[in-house]
Amino acid sequence: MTSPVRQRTLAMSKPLERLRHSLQVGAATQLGVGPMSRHCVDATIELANTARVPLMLIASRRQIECAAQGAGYVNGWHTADFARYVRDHDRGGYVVLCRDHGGPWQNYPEVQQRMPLSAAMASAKESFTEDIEAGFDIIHIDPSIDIHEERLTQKTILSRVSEFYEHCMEVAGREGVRMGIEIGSEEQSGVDQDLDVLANALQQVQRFCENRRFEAPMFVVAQTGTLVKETRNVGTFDDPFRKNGAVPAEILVPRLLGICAEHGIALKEHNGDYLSNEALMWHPRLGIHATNIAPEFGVAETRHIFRLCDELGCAQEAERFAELAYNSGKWEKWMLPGTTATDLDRAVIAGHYVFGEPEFREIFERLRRECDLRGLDLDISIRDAIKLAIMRIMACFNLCRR
Amino acid sequence: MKPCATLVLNRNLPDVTDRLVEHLLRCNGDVTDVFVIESGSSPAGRSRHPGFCADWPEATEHGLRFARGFNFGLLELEKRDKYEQYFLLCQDTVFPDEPTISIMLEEMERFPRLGILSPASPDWGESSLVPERELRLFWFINLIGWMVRGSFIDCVKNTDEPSFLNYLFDGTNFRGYDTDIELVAKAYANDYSAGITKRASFREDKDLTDRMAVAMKTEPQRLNRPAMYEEGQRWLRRKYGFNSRWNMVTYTKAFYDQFFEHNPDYRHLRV
Repeated sequence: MTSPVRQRTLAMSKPLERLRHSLQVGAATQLGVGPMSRHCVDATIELANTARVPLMLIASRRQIECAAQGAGYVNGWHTADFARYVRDHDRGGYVVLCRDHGGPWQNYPEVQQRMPLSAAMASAKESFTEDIEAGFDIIHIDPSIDIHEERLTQKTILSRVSEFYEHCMEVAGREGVRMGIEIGSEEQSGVDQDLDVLANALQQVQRFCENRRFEAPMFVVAQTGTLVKETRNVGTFDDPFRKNGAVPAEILVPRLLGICAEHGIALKEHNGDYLSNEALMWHPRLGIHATNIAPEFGVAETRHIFRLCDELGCAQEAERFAELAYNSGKWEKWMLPGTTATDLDRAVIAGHYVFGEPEFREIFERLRRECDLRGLDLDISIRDAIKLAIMRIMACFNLCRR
Repeated sequence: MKPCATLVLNRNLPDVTDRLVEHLLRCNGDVTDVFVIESGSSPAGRSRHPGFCADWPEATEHGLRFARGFNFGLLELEKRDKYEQYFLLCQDTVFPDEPTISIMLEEMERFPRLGILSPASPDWGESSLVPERELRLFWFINLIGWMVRGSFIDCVKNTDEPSFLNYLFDGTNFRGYDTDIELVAKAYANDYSAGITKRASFREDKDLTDRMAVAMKTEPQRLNRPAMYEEGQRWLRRKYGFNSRWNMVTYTKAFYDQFFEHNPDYRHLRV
């Protein structure tokens, strides 16, 4: 057994300190932005520093991964490269680095190799270690996936959460840093769908933390009635009519927030993409502490690139980009049953997955040349488009007035 | 006199309504009288069971929907008799073969501050928040089949020129979006509560309107729902200055929370 880590003796990064302060003040919903591309990362850094509010960059293992496991699909960045890039550019110290859905089988190689449990656990630990060493501020521990077992019991999930929690705290102690832990999952079985089960899980994790003298989790992820399909949010949150079998968001959200308040933990919503302004504006008023949004920004970038291709007469580039994105097949998991989406719609959904491909870089460079000829800065143009998409959310979340 | 009056809303579906009424009489006839509210049904579309007939041209053309329909039925019934409880049912309600109403009456007796009680539907996610054979109080309950306490109705009903537009529900909101939740808010604001019991159950025949829209002389859901929501939004704005359905949720929830401060003996029923 490892020795307990006394968090109060450890140093907290400036961005994390700011985020904690903002959560304490309340009145706003904190935003987690998926690092869908380098442009998206740049846009987030610029906005956080301009508005002087903490913004979280929430990297999944598929997006950003440690060197030993072959990086992720975003800009070919390894964890350390990504963290260094963000820290170098985030002059004011407003960007909170977060691992999103860390845990076994949460990256492509562990699934493709059909890693056995022990190897996948070790691989996930290696990934967490590099996250913390690279200076990530918040680690989301999500061991709710097991490719060898369809339905994990709550007991198994909690036992794996404890193992990773212990590991992360040990590494943090060694590194002398104080970080935040996020637990729970919005989509997997067991832990989060049943409110009593969620309350029970929180109680058990808290007891574990007390016994080990670890700091309690900062965030819990729970299903608030958001669900992203294609380029829409089809969950109950934004739907004025009830859905069969689902707890109406009108009951679910206040109840969830009640449970979180009882346990002194902040609620982090996932899948907040494509919500209407009305739904977003109610987030801070209802008291939802934080929300993750990712594909919406990737799609904003893809759409902007297609728009530019159209405006600059780059039909061939648009066609090649669409083909590349479509052929990636990355749109598949996002489609609604019985969808009527066209091939182009599917390409738009999958566009950001291929930004790191050499073939896309060729397309992008040709587009850049066309922009240069017209005195247009392609990078700024793309960044601005993403910033607009992020600013819509920030305004609704009360993050622009802080 | 029986303790309960059941009011069933019918719009041109005599067979469906008669089946429901006969089921109610068979399983619950000892505790309830049943009345059919003809919501602008044509003569051929009326139930063979007694009740109250809204037959003026506008009602025939557009129907009454639940808010105007139940207002009309309750107002007509009040002229004849007063009951302890009123069970308001839309015609797409389907009950299991058991005595639902007597169980609900027991619950109303056990909890005197219960103003509104709905049976649980297995299709409702919130049923999972109610333990087996128990009751829990909510701030948000859809009206498909509600038992409403007579004393609560007396407490909130409109006594100033009451009509089918304003007696209990606000009938100016024709399709009724959120007028059910408004009544829940009125319950909590007046120290009553609204609950779902798992001791009784029902199902909503959700496709009924779509299957029978022509016979009913009404719109299918794909037309009704957007119109209902749009009207509801306009009504929320006009009546309360609310710009979102979430305003109504937080408004009702505030009264809900307050209720438990005044009624600590009901705290165990809180979700």
